[in-house]
Amino acid sequence: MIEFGERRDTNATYGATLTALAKENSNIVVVEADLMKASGSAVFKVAFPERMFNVGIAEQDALSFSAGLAAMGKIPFVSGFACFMAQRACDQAMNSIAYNKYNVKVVGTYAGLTSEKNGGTHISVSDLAIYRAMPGFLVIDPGDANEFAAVLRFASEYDGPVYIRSNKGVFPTFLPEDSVFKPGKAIVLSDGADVGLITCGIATAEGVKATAMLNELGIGVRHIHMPTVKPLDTEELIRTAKQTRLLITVENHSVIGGLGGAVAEVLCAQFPAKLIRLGLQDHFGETATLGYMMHEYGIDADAIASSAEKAMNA
Amino acid sequence: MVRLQNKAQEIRRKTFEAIYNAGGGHYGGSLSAIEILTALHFDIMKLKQGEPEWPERDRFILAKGHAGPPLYVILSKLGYIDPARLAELDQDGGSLPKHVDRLKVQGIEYSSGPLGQGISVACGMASAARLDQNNCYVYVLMGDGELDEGQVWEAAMTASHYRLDHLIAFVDRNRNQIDGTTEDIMALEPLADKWSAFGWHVQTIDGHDTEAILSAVAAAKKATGKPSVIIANTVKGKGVSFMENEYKWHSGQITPEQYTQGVADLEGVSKQ
Ligand SMILES: Cc1ncc(C[n+]2csc(CCOP(=O)(O)OP(=O)(O)O)c2C)c(N)n1
Repeated sequence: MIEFGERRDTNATYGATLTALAKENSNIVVVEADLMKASGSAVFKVAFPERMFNVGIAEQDALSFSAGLAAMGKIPFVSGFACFMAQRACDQAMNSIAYNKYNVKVVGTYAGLTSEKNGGTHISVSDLAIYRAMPGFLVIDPGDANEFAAVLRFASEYDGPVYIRSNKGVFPTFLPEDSVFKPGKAIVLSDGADVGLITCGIATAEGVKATAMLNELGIGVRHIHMPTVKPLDTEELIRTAKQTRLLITVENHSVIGGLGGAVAEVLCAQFPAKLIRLGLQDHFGETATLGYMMHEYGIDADAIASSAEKAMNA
Repeated sequence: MVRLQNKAQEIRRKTFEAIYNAGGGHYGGSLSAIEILTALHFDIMKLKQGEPEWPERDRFILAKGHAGPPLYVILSKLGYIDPARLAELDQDGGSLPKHVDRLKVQGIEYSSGPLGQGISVACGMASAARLDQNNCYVYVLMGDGELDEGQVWEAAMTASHYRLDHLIAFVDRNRNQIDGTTEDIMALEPLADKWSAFGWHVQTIDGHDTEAILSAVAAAKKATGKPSVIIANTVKGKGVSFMENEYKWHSGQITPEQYTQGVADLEGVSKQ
C-alpha cells in the first residue's frame, strides 16, 4: 500500500529546486512571461537576478528568446500558464526550439484543471497532446512535488527539449523526497490481476485511493504511474495489459492525444486490449474548484473506482 | 569598397543561377538582401577562418529564412560548405533547404522559416553573450513584411528593456511582401518612428550601398545602451529587370528566356 506523506507545494518546489540547481550549474537561467508568481521562481530572481529574464506578457517571445539563450549554451527553464505555453506559443516551441533541437525546458504552470477558477480559457486540456506531437520533446506530468523536483533535476542534466507540467497546489506526496527521475519509465505502485490502472500527474494520487477502494471490493489493481507521457514506457504498459483483464487510463487532460491517446496508440499496434480512457471527454474546463471538476469529469478516486467496478461487472 | 560592391554583384549572379538551377524559388527577397549579407560576412562580422564554432564569433540570424540561397553562396565562398552543394538547393534528399537549417548547414546559426521568431532568438543570444561577458555582436536580418508579425514587437520591447546594445537588426525594406506592397497589405510607415518609439537607435540607409552599410554598423556600435536597427531601403528582385519592384517575383519559376535576360541584366551591371 502506498502511504501519503508530507504535503508539498508545487510552486515553492519550483523556486527552491531551480535555485539549488543553479548553484551547481552556472548555465541554468530562468525565463518568465509575467507569471513568476504562478511558477514560483521569485526566489530564483532574488538569488540570481542577472540570470532571470522576464519578457513581459509575451509567451511567443519567451520561447524564442529561450531558444537564443540555449543556442549560446545556457539551460533555460521557461514557464508560463500551460495553456499559453502550448497554444499561444505552439509554433515557437515547434520551430524555435524543437526544430532547432535546442536545450530548452518548457514548464507549463497551472496545468489542466489545477488552473481552477481561472476557468475554461485557462485550463489546458491539450498541452500534453500538443507537446507530444512535437518531434524531439520529452513530455512529463509529475505525480507529486517530490517527483517534480526530481524531474527538474533530470531536465537540467538532459540535453534536449523537455515539456514539464507544473500542477498548481499543495498535495500530499507519495514518492520519496530523494527519488531519482527515470525518463520513460513507469513506476509500479500496486499489483493485481483485474484492473490495469495507468495514471499520470495529479490523477495518480486519485488512482492510489481508488486502488484501496477497489481492493476492499476484492478487485485487484495493477496501478502504474506513467509520468513520462512521451516516450511512453511501452514495455511496462504491455506487461500490465497482459497481466490484467482491462485497462483504465486517468489524466488531468483531454482523453484525446494525452496519456489515454498515447496508450491507445500503443495497444492498437502491439497488444489490443480493452481500454477505458478517463479524462476530459472532449470538452473544456470551467470556473470551479479542482475537487469539483475532478469529480464531475470522472477522474477523482470515487469516479475511478466506480468506473472500474462497472467495467469489471460488465 | 569597390571590392565589396563587386563581390556582392558576383554573389547576386551566383544566387540567381542557384535558384534557377533549383527549379525556382524566392528570387525577390534573395536579390534584395545581397549587399547586406555580403557586407556582414566579408567585412563586418568577426569570424575565424577554419573555426566555425569559435565561441566569440559574431552571430548572424537570417530571420527571413526563405533567403537561404544567397547565404549559402556566401558560406560556400567562406569555405563553410562545398560549392558543389549549391546544386543540391531544394532538391529531394539534398542538403541545402531554402529555409536555412542549422543542423544541415555549417555556418547557419539558427534554422528559420516561420517569420517573426528570429529577432526573439537574437535577443536571447545577445542576453546570453552579455551574461558570459562574451563581447560578440548578434546580427539579425528581417524582411519588412515580417514586421507584420506581433512577435517582432514583443522582441523589440525586450531588446530595449534589456538594453541589448550588441544586437544590431537589419530590415530589408524592399517594400514588397507576397500579396502586394507592404503599404497596400499592412502599412508599416512611419517605420523609423515605430522603432524609435520602441527605444531603438534607428538609421535608414541605401541597402545596396556596401559603404553605407559599413558606416551604419559602425554608428550602431557607438550607440551604447540600446539596440540598433538599420532600415535598409532595397529593391525587391534587385538587378533583374523584369523582377525589380514586382511583388509577384517574391517567388516563382522563370523560363530559360527569362533566365538569359536576367543573366544579361546582371552581367550588364557588373561591366559598368
Ligand atoms: C509565420 C509565417 N507566415 C507566413 C509565411 C509565408 N511567407 C514566406 S515569405 C513571406 C513574405 C515575406 O515578406 P518579407 O518579410 O517582406 O520578405 P522579403 O520581401 O524580404 O522576401 C510570407 C508571408 C512564413 N514563412 N512564416
